[in-house]
Amino acid sequence: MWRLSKLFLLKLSFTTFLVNIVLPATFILNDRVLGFEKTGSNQLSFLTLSLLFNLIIIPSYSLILVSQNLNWLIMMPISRLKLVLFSYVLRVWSFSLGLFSLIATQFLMEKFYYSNLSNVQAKNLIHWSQSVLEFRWMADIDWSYSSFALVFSIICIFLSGFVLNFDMDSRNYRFTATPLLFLLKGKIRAIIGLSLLVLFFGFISLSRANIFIILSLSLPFFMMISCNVFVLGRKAVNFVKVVALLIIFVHVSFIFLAREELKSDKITLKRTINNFEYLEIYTPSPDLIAGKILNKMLEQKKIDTYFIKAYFEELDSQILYELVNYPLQTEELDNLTKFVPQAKLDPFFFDPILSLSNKNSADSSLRTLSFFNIGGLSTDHIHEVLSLLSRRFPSSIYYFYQVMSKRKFQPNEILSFINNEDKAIVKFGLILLRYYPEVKVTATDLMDLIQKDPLLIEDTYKTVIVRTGEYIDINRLIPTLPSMDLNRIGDCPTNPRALFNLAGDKGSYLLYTICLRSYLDGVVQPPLEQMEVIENPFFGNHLDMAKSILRINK
Amino acid sequence: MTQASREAIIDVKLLSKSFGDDVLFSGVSFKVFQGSFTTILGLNGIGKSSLLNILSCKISADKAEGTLLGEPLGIDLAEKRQSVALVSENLNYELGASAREFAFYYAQLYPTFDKEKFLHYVKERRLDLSKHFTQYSRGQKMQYCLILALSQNPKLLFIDEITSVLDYKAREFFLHELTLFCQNGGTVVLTTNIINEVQQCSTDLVIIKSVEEIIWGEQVEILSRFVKLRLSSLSMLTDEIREKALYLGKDSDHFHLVLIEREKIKDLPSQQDQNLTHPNLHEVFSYLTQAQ
Repeated sequence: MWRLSKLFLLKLSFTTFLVNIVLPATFILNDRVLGFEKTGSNQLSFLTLSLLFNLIIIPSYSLILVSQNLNWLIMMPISRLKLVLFSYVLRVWSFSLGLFSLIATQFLMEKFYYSNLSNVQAKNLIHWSQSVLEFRWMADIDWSYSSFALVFSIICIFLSGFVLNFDMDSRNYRFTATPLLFLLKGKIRAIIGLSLLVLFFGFISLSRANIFIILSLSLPFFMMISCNVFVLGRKAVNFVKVVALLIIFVHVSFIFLAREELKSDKITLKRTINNFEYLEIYTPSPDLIAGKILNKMLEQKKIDTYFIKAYFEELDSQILYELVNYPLQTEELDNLTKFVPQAKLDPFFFDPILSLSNKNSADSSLRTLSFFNIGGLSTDHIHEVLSLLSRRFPSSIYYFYQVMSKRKFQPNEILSFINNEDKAIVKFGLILLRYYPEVKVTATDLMDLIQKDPLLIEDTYKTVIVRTGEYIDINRLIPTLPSMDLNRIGDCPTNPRALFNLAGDKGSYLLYTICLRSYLDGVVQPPLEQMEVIENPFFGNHLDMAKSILRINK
Repeated sequence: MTQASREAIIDVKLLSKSFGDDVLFSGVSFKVFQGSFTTILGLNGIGKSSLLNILSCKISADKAEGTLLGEPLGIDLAEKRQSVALVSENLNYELGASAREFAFYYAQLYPTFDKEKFLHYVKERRLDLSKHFTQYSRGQKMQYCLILALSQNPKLLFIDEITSVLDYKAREFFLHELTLFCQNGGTVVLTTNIINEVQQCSTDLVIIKSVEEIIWGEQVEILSRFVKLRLSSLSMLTDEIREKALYLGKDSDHFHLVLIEREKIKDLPSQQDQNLTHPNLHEVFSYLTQAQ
């Protein structure tokens, strides 16, 4: 059997050797010569491919190799039992070879390549990879992500090994997957059943895109069929080959897409990748990386507790990942407690928000913003952020105002907002004015704003009402706008519920505000700031709050 | 040499084999004798290759008695495969090694492997051993497989339908070598669809007629059971005989040629206009399988 093994080992060793030369060479070429992408991500991608090839593809390849050559192997002067043993030994050997190559390659890369890097993330990733290689990952298994994928893959490989054995032992020497399972008896069927159960739950746990992973791991199953040419016939074999090629093609495409994603600015492409999360299960999950970094920093008391809170509230892990992976944060993480630049405006500061704004929705940007300690934002930062976000998400700007308003503002800052040229910043200033009565501003000053930009009338009017604490006739407030028929208090519906129908119509917003105020005067006297929430009145939240104030349940 | 005086290297009794509902054989029996060149004939899908796979222990029969190389049929013995070789179109030595490297390792698995013979055959057939197996053409692949098998010096050599992919020179060469192999005590069991090509070297026949019937024996003996008639008119035959006879068309003198079992001749009304000739293997095979 050893003589027979030589033939196979020769081929497998060569393939493993080739893979572990080509992969690092490609990585170094991309990283150093072509200068692609960030080091951390590149390393991640390299590690991913190394894991994929060494632990999955090469052991699977050993299976394929046996299947392809089964027709003459089965005629060799060795017993069937030895042949089964041989296929197992070959599999274990190829897995060990892959694992050894992986460790060796990672070790060499770290020794001679990463040692020059100062990037904190790269080092963290290396630590992670070491923990994987040393199987320390068993201690902190994240069953929904990478570790599970590895376990899952190993199960798949061994499961396919079972099938191969049955194939050879079967009386008919005919491979048909479904009946084959029913041909089995006793413990063997139980093992298969259990494995399928694990696969089933694994399938649920993993993201939907992992069907590609499952398909690719089923490749040996498909390939094994090809060894039964005389049973299936050439057409079936060709079909199987086409399917196998298709799977390989999809795989390769996704690997390339994933690489593109790491360096491309194309929004569509990024979305596609994010949706499929293709390579995530083979890489350290963003949660895992972020968790490790955060834990370490927490131990050293180098982190804003707000950030930790956000992390444990299970906010978007992708955002978290990008955030901690960003150059600004990586520098800051080492020795500062906050993520916000304190002294000068850092050119990188807005990049995470911008990047996410490109890729995702206002909601993502909002969550990104929530990772920052708003208290540490300078006035200039706020100007920049609001200006940027109002252009990108004009309809959602009120939510950003809400986040920003958590910071304690100085009177002169609020005045600077009021006097800003950017309407979005002025609006923010008007909102803040409602909560900072100590800021000295006259009604005339506010009226000047309306003169400058009539579109600010709504916010100004609300601010004036809140600040004065009483209803003011809009005609009195804005005598210069006689064309606007705002004195419509008599038009207010008598039923409070009917009032909310007005809120849906933008044209009736003023009437709605006026009517709401008149009801409030009669029903309850809450602090005005509770009613005048910093939200777009045309969104549901405002209605809910108003309803709760008016004690309307439905 | 009579069958009784020859030693059966394969003795199959009551062989049954089915793939699901598809029954291939049901209680068939036959023998293959040592030193014979046995040709297995049958229509497509009748089970020639499956029979070969069963005999070569590649697959097992559902039910079978008898012996193979003196051991009970169906028992998978590694030692038995030392004396058996199988060459088929499905063989693929896809290990990335060159043909020379592969042969080197392959030879180590068989103590009886004759390296000189291997190199002689390779030289004769002008095969480039530096090439990988996958780089060979289909015909060259089969030649390489045959050379490996012959060099292995097995007692039993199974060949599954490869003559059709060989060119006429290669076919002549290997059929000659296979005849020599048999003369030296080896046994060849070959399946083929190109019947006339093997008639000259084949000594024995196994004709799969149906699921339950296999006609086997020495080729000469089987052929002698049939005669070819030359008739001026088909009406000379009775209806009963005409139904069973195989009509082979007319010759240049417009006589009708009909194949019939020899024992039927005595039933013919008159033998005056009959010219009796010996049929060839192809004609006999056609007669036996005409009902299918």
